Amino acid sequence: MKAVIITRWLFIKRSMLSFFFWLLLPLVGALLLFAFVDVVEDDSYVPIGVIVEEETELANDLYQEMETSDFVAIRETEHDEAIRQLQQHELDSVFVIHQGYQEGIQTQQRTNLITSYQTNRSYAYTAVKEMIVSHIQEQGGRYQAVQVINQLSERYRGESLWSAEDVIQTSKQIQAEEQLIHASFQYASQAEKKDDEGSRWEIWHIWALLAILSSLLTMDWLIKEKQSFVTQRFYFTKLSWHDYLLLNGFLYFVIWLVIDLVTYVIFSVGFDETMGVVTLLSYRCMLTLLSFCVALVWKRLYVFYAVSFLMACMCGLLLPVRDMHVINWLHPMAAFLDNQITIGWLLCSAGVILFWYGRRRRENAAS
Amino acid sequence: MLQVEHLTKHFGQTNIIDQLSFSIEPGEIVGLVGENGAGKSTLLQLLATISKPTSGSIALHGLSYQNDLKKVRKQIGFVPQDIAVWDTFTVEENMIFFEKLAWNHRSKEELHNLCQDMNLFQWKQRVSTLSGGMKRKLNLAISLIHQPNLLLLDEPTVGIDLKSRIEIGQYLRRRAKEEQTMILYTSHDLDEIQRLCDRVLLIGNDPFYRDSVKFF
Amino acid sequence: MIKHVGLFLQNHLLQIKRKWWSLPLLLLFPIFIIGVMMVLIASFFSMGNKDDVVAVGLVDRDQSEETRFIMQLLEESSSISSVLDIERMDETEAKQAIAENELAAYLLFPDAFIDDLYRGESVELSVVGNRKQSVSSQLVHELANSAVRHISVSQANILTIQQYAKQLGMSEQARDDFMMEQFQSYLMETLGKDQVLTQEDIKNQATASPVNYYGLSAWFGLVTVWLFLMYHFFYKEYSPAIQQRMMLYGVTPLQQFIARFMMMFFIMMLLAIGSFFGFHEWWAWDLAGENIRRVMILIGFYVILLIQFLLLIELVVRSTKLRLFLQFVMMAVLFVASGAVIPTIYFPSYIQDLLNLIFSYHVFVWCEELVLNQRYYADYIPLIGMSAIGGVVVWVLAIWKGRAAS
Ligand SMILES: Nc1ncnc2c1ncn2[C@@H]1O[C@H](COP(=O)(O)OP(=O)(O)OP(=O)(O)O)[C@@H](O)[C@H]1O
Ligand SMILES: [Mg+2]
Repeated sequence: MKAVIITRWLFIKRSMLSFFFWLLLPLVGALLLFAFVDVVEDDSYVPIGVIVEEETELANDLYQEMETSDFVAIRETEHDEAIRQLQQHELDSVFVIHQGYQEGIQTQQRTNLITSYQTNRSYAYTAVKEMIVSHIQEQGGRYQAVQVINQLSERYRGESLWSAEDVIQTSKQIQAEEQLIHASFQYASQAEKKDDEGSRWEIWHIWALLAILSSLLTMDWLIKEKQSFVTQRFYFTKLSWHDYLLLNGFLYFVIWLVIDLVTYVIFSVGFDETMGVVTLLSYRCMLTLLSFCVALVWKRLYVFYAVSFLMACMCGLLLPVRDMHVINWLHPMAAFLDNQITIGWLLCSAGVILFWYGRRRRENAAS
Repeated sequence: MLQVEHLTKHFGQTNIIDQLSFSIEPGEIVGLVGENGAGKSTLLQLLATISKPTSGSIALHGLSYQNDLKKVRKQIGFVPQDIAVWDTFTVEENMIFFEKLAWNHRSKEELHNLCQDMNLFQWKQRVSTLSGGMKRKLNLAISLIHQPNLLLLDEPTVGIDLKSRIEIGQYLRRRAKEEQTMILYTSHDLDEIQRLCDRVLLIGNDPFYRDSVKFF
Repeated sequence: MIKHVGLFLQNHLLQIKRKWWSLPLLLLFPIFIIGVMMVLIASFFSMGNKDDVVAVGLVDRDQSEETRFIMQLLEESSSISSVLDIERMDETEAKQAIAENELAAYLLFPDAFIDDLYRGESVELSVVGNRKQSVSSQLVHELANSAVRHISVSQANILTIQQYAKQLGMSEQARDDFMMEQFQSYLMETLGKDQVLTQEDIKNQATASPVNYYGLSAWFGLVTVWLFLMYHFFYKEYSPAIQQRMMLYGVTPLQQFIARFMMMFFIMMLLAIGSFFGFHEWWAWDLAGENIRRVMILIGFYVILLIQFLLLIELVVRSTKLRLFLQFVMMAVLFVASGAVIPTIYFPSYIQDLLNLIFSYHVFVWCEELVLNQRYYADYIPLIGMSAIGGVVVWVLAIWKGRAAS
């Protein structure tokens, strides 16, 4: 092993920059991409058209609420112009706040206060509608409370004791102060609870994808060395050719593990991310064996690179539909992303390598 | 001592080597001569265990190529016809690389001396910037690192200047005599063969070589 | 000079002849992949359809009158039952059902849910998901989140009413009944929340349907992927020895580039035009002849600019591995920036400002105008400018490289 480390060092020290570039690509790439998507997601707005038909406090209040929402950008236009823009898909959807909005809210006549226009390309319509409706609901609910309280005090005291402002103020205060209901989410098979899963897994998604690409591309030493005339000399060395390759593959595995450890620490500290150590270990093991296999199969460097990109590309493209049964079986990243131990691909790759190793052995012994 | 009996090698239908038998004594340098495509490289590859004969047997110091492959290989030094060195490395790194993988340990000093013996003085220079002859010298030097008993040299001196050629020849002779190394040597330079070798082995059917070799 | 270009063209033709068997593979593979992707995406979006509703369990640990009322409402509400198939069960049943993969998730109302709710104490509604149906589980989680947001507003109002009611000196019994009544009323209001809206579907433009948008995207993607594959098909790495020899014959990198450029342009235009008519037929786009011509010109610019871009990276980056990586990433960026994946109106404004500098965006926007919005105009000026600049840059770099090599 010492010989392997020293001889490998001779190769690596010539191309330190490239070596570290590909080694750190999954970590740095995932961090950068994640940060980028995060920023873009924050800054992305759904362009909607809003037409306000009445100048009342509540209508303005609703308009303000939409304006301050962090995911829509309002374009205030004329009705016809808005509809034209909607048809051309320059707007996602259009909302019209009708005349009589305030009165409707105050008198609990809460039907058809607003008209919404959507097309079948209004991808964000449901989310925007949900936001608007929930705000109307909030306004309406408060006035409902006002009404109920007025009725109560009429019944018990014969007069309205409190003004609408008072009641609404109290309600807002309660909503802000009290710890009200919230929903939590966890998987049945998971021990600890997590309030918000979802996006936090994504950084490992990106990482896992980049890890496939970079571990394939760093295996190119195998192709390069396989092509060289130098292979002839390995008949007369202490290490046979295939032992040399395997030990080098193992060395790369160890180097990767160190990088993975750093990745693990950064992700778990920076993103409060839980990922099983064994999961990560088995995934890395699979990646090393798999890329070793692929490098064994192909002869030309350029083709090998092309295949690597193709594989990474396929994995990436099939990621969104990973949940479909067949793909979930076949996808190399599936087990890892479900925080489970990667077994299938690991065994397959290991099998191919064992076969390759065994066959060479036999060939040599028999010659 | 190397013993070859009834060695035959087919490539498909063509018979490259046919029922060849010969032997080499320790300390002997044998020249291998024949026209292009006569099968010299093929024979050396058979003797170097790189390819397998169709039939026939080879034995080195009584060790059969069939049964004691590992022990046989430890004793063989093979200089391929193609230059088999790492292009991106310096001379020094190439020597260290193969020393690390060799059966026996050699100090850096010894490696350096070995290159000096081959008249190769560009110790720190990258192989890709070496001249053709220098690469040949390195190719030869690497094969000598593990001090083999049987040296199989496939046109080791092509493109090497005359002075170096003579000095390398002297070095090989010295080795053969002092350490009882057997050397099988192919070259198209009959003068060199004559100067260096104790004996000539002729393969192929070209009458030209048959006549030329008669002079020895 | 022209003779050499001709020679290389011939050489590329030979290359096609020699590797003809890989061409159909090269061309069909992207079609296959894009087809599969579209089918998968379509089935992904139609998951909310009636034919596969998500099975959800309800577990009531509280067992109060109110929770029973909630459960009944949830079970019977038609707006919910189109998405979710809700069933009441106890906790062991629910766990069992998840283990057997019969449920996507279950909702758990904890002990003293309603009491805590009335007292304004922290209440937690738990959603327990099934890892084997993670997308559906997340959907249930989203729905629960949205419901909880509504309930928390109602809760604040109920607590307000309760606070005032106490001041009025209602009897405890009367107040409890009254609160129950209010709770139900608010819950009904929440379930009927969509009634505040009149929802209108605008559909008078038959072509502006997502199917056509995705059709155009698919075609655009197909051309992009084909071009990338073609580039690699014609790419050839010459060993230094051969490069030297070619230089002796007066062959410059520029000539090779011109030959490769012409070859790829010619083949790509054949493919792009052929496939466009395929899509045109398939989706019955029914474009006027002059608009078809405009789309062809646009895609011609796209092909030219993409080839220039790939050649530029080839000229600048020497390491094969890094070059492939950069080319790959840049192609992906260009494709996303065109708006063929996500419509550009959803991008942040500062990115939208940058898009004007990107040729793929111009090309796709005008294709969209022509195909989806049936405009009879396309602006070629920016594209002419960009391809001229691209051509000059590649030209200069190729000459400079030829100089540097000799
Ligand atoms: N792997 C192979 N498959 C088929 N034929 C082969 C193979 N290797 C060598 N040959 C043929 O065997 C013959 C002998 O080749 P070899 O390389 O041994 O010649 P040589 O004597 O070394 O010639 P040179 O002087 O040019 O080095 C040639 O005709 C060659 O074409
Ligand atoms: Mg030969």
